[in-house]
Amino acid sequence: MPKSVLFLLCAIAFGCGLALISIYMAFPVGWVGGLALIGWVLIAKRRWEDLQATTGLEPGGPERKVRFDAVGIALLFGHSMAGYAFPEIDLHVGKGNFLAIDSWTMIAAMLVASLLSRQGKNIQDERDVAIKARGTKAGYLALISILVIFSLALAILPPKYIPTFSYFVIGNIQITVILASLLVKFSIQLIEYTKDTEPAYAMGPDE
Amino acid sequence: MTELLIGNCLRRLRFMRGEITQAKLADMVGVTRQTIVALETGRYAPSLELAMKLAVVFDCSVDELFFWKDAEQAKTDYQFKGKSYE
Repeated sequence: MPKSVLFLLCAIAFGCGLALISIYMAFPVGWVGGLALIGWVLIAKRRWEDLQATTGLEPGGPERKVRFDAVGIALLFGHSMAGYAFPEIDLHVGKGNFLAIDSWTMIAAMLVASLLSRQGKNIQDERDVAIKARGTKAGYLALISILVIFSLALAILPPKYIPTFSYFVIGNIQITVILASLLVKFSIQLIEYTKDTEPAYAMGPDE
Repeated sequence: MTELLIGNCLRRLRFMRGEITQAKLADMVGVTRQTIVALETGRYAPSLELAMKLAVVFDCSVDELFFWKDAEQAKTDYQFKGKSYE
């Protein structure tokens, strides 16, 4: 499994951990997630500058964007998933924790990270378009599959569980499903990009 | 990753034509440097348009730039085997 996909799993776990922490601490942990995201963007940019000067295996503009978006979405996904796994976490705002505010804070951090990560030149060529198309196809299939499973699950759910699924909860689950499909899309894109940047093929940028 | 059946002499031609850097070549044909790397290491097959652009840069034909790694196998697999009316 490519390192970038493993990193996404770590980001999901981190997002999940933040939501769990919010059960015990009345503190908007979204700030922690947001600052961690921005910090990672700055570190990653520096590391890629080093790679550009040494091996020439730094990711191109479109790939960098995929990486930044993927990590932000993974963080949000983990954060929202924890809400369903642990009933102690209230999805509503102002009832013991800050889950929704935290999510919005992290979305704001994603926007800041996106501004920070911008390069002067960010052309998307035919290879990027082809990789994006493969990712989009996988993401679309994932979205449809999860929605079908979710709809069937709702249809055959025992009556005693029905009150749990308010319109509010169903709406939130659908948002998480969309995040999951985006994660599949980005993961496929990252796997495709990784195939082109194996260290064995490293070469200096001025060769 | 699946090995591509088509190879290219991009790297050799780059050096033969005044040592054009990957970045400069990428700029000339309107792709990222990473795509040139992927092409040179044989992990990406370009579109016909990009192949023709590259041929123009090196002032050669697409045939001279790209080739079958196993020409005999390609002939066996793809050559027209029907009746010709010429």
